Formats: sequence, structure tokens, C-alpha cells
Amino acid sequence: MRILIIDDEPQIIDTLRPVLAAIGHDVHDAADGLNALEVITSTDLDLVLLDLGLPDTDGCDLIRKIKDEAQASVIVVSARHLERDKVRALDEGADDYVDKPFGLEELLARIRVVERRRSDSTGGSVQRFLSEDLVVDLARREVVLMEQPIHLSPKEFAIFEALVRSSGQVVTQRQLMIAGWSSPNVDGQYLRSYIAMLREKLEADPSDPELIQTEPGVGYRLTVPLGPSQ
Amino acid sequence: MIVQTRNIIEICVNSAIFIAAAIATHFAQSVERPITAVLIFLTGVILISARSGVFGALFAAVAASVTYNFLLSEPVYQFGVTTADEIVPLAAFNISALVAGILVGRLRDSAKRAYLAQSDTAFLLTVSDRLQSAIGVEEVEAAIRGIIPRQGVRTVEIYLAHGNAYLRPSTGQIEFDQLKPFIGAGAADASSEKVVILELEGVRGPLGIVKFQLAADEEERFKLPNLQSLAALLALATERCLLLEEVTEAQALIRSEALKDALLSSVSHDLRTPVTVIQAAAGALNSREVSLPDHERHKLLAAIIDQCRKLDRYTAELLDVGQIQSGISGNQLETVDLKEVVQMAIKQARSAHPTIWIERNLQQSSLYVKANAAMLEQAIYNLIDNAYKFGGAESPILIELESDGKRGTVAITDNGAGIEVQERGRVFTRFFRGAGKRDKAGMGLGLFISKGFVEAFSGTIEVESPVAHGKGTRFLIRLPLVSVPRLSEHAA
Repeated sequence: MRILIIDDEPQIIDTLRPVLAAIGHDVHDAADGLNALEVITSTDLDLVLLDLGLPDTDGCDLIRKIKDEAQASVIVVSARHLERDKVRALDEGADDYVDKPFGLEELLARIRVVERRRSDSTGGSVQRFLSEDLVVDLARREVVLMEQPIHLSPKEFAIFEALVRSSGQVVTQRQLMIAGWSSPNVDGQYLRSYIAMLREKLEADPSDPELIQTEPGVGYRLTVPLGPSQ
Repeated sequence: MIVQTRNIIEICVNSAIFIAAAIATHFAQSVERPITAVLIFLTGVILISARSGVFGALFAAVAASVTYNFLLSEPVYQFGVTTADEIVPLAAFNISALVAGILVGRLRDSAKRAYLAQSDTAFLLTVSDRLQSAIGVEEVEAAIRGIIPRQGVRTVEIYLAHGNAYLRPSTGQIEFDQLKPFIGAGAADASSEKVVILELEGVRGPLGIVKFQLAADEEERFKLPNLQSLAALLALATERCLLLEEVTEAQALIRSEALKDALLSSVSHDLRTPVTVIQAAAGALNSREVSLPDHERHKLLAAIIDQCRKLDRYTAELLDVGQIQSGISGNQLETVDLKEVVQMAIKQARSAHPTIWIERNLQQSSLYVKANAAMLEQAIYNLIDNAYKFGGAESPILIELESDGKRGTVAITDNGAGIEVQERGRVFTRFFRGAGKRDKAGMGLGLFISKGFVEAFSGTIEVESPVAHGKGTRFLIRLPLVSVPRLSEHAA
């Protein structure tokens, strides 16, 4: 993939660049918003790793521009552990995030999800094999768990569909509320109840969920088997 | 008392005028000038009216009429009118005296009212002028203290509503609800002085009350409306001061919150960056998935070592800031040789930056100052480190030590780009990093620490930029010299 790293700390670029290059990516970098825009408009990018604490630009503005100018995915890298900025970036269209300091494996896993999704969407398949046990067909609105069809209410399905469409990536509470209730101003308790009902129906152990993971303060993530290849 | 004396004088003067007029009239009468006599007498009546208003005029007119009848009209020295020839002048005199007296008296009364109203207005204007200067509620009373006695008000006390009680901000004195029933009414207190209590009504509701103590004999001049305007002005000033206090408090709160935010975000950002680099680099070296050529592996290892050093320095800096904030006590100070400390700092800088180019111009003899050696070395090192970061390895950093007998000066001059005019005042501020210099700068604590330490040793720190040809920055540390310890003391 063609990856752009935007970070104002040269040490971070110096570290990530050789690592990402070693696993076969084409790496570009920018230290500020201005340079980043230049690369974004001149290069056909697949992924942008965006540090939210840029000195000259608001990260959210940049995300909007990235989404307008290029079809690149965005993973937000945030040193500030301020949930607000991160959630705003995700609501603004960022695909996923990692918190600084991050483990390299975690970052590579996020990048792999992006890579898989980008090759998926070109295939245009609507039926998704989430795992060996779970099969979801969005077109036919079917969910099959261990060869048993599972009945989901329309609202449950709408919420689950939003998670499936971004499987492997975080989906914010706001995005799930819009999916389920067509409005972001829903009591968070409703969303928590629906997530609990979905876990009841789909998780092997609903008290220790593995499929639908909570991202505290941000939203939920549908886990997919993460390996170097599918 | 003043008013009573004034009234007595008034009566005496009026009586004198009356008697003078009567004598003159009698004299004119005795020399057979009856018309002159009447005119003189009438003039006297008008004069008294002009001086003492409508009531004085009436009194003068009646007295004059009686006197005229007794002195001037035939038969002289006795009352009684005999012929029509005598009734007509008598009636004419009476009517003229009465009408002239009333008219002149009325004129005088309205002139006096106008004067009083004008002086009320002038007084209120002065009050409102003075109140402008008050910026705290406790200053409102003091602002008008000097001018109120002129208006017969002995004291003004302002109380702010404070739950069920009233608090007087200027004294901290608390009065409970007993003041409340008297609001709007006058009450005579023990010393026969009149007390008037009025409510202070602000835009946002009642603020409290104001207590006026009036001198008893001045009561007449003080009509309630006048006091009410005074109370309204005081309410205005009090409310303005209260709002001002709220704004100031809010701003202080915002500033301390902003500082806390800056500290947190800076610590979070600056400590996480090295940790991120270390974690990512170590992760890559440890990963089976990533296979790196040898020279890349070495670079990552070097990066890890470098970032560990950085973390160590940041931690030390945060500790130094903590030390400055909690204060440096006198027993941490000792007599140290400034020259030796400068040499130590240079040594430290050379080991941290092997490529650094330092030119020294240190005075030969030792200079003793009262300081903590480690902290002073850190303060000087930070300046050298700063000079290296912004001046670079390509040009020399000049380090000079001088003394004027009272103070020792360490000057550190680099040949870098200098400091922008608008940034010069802020370089010593916590977390300040020059525009576009974030990659070079650390946390932005170095110069803050230098300043904090030097000031704890009763010294000063200054910055000059540009130094020459529009380039370079010079930092000057000045420390008071202490008397050189004598050799005999060392020997003993």
C-alpha cells in the first residue's frame, strides 16, 4: 500500500518508515498539515497515518480534506489521551485509531484490516464470512451462527450491519446511533442494551465478549480473525 | 448648630434693616418729606423680602403697616385713622408693601430652590465621579467618605446581602436581619442622630442595604429623594464592583485551568513521543514479520538509546520544575565558585554534544556566589544546550565570565538566527517553544528552569537578540557576589 505518515516528531517517522518499508509498503511522510496536503493531492494514497497533535492544522480538517481529495483510509494516531479529539476524528470519517504509545503489532494489525478491506471492496462481495462459525449475508439480511440461523430484530440488525460493514475497525457510538435510530441524540443506555442483546445472541460467552468488543469512550469493534493472511 | 447661628444672624440683619428703614423714614417725615419717607420704608420692606422669602416678606409687610400707621400716618405716634385722605395712602402702602414683599420673596424662594437642586445635582455628579475609582466593594464607602459631610451625612455604611445576614465588606462586620424592618424608614438612634436605611437595588436584583447617618440639625436639607438618588448611585457602583470581582475570579480560574491543561498535554505529548519510538522500534526488532537489514536494525537501536536519554532528561526537568514550584530553601544554598560551576556546565555540554564548539573567556580569579552548585550548573547548562540547539555546531558558542565587584555575570552567546521580537518576552515561560522549532526544542522547560534557579539565588537572567549583524542570541546570568572565604578559615 501507499502510506503517508503525518507526524511532527521526526523520530517517529524515522522509526516507522523503515519498518513499514520492510514489509513492502511505499512510505511517504509529512511533518505538518501543509506538506501533508501536498502529498495528498499529488499521490494516489491508500492509507494515511495521522497524528492528531499537529502544530499547524486541526486533524479533523485534514481528515475532511483527505476524504475529499483522495479515497485513502485514515488511521488516527493520537498522543493525547483525550477521547473527545479522537471520537471527533472518527466521526469526521477516520477509519480507525491507535493510541500513542502503541505496540508495533497493534499498528500492523490495524494496517492489515485496512489492506484487507480495500481489497475486499474492489471484489464487491456482500456476503461476509466473519469467522468459521459466523456467516453474515447483508443483502439477504441473514445471520448464521454455527449453521443455525439467528433472528435479529430490525434495529439489532441495523446496528450489527454497521459493525459488520466496518468489521475489524472501531465504529463510534454516534455512528451506531445513526445506524439504529437515524439520530445521534439517543440515550447511550439504549445502545448499550442493544449491544447486550446482540452479544446474548451471538457471543459464546456474553459476559466475556470476543466478537463485539467495547472501545471505552469511543464505540465498539467487531473483531475479525487477525492473521498475516486470511 | 451652624444653621441656628445662621438663622439668628439673619433675624438680626433683617431687624437692623427694619429699624434703619424706620429711623430714616421718621427722619424724612420730620423734615416734611412724606413721599421720600414712604419710599424709604417700602425699600426696607422689599430688602427684607429679598433676604428672607415669602414668610419674611409677610412679616415685614405687617410690621411695616403697623409702624406706618403709628409713625407716618396722621395722627403721628398713635394708631387710628380719621379721614379718607389718610385711609387711601395707608391702604396703598399696605398693599404695595404686601405685594412687593410676596413677589420678591417668591422670587428669592425659587432662586434658592434652584440653587439647592443644582447643588444636589453637582453633589451627585461628584459622588458618581468618585465612585468610578472604586474597583472593590470595600472601596465604595471610602470613595465618597471625603465628600459626604458637606451634605450633612455623617456616615455611609454599605451592607451586602449574605443569606439571612448583611455583611459590611469594608469592615467584615456582620449585621443580622434586625436592619431589615427599618428599610426605607428613618429611625432616630440614641445619639439623636437620624438613621435612614435604604435598599441597594441592582440590575440583577437586590444587592443589600445602605445605612445613612444624618446629623440631626441637617435633617431639613435631606429629603428622602436625594438620599434615594445617592443610594441608586451606590448600588450602581457596588454592582459594578461585584461584577468586576466575578470576572477577575473567572479569569484567574481560566488561567490556572489553562496552565494545568498545558502541563498535562505537554507532559502527555513529550513523554509519549519517546515511549512511542522506543516501543515501535523495539517491537520491530522483536517482530518475526518484519525483517530489517543490519544497518536499519542499528539505527533503531540507536533511536531507542537516544529516546531513553530524552526520557531521562524530561523526567529530570519535571523534577526541577517541581523543585522551583515548591520553593528552594536557604539551607540548600552554599558558597560556590561561579567559575568552577561554569567549567562543570561546559564539561557536561561537551559530553552531551560531542560536536559542540565552545569558546571560553573566563576570568582567572574565582567568583563566589551563594547558590546550589548542582542547580546553578543545570541553569548554565540549559543555556549552553539552548545555544547549541539554535546556534548549531558550525559556529562557536562564546562563554564569558565577568565581574564588576558586586555581581558576577555569565554571558552565553550563540550565532544562531536570534529570537523574534514578539517571542523575546516569552522565552522564559513554561512550555514555550519558538514557532517552527518544535523538532529542535525539548519540552520548553529549559529556560524556565534556568530562570527559576537563578532567581532563587537572588540573581537575574536576561536575553539580548540579535547580538550582531541581525543574528545571535545572548543570555546573561547575573548573581550577587559574596565575600571570598579567607584562607585562614579554610585552614581552621
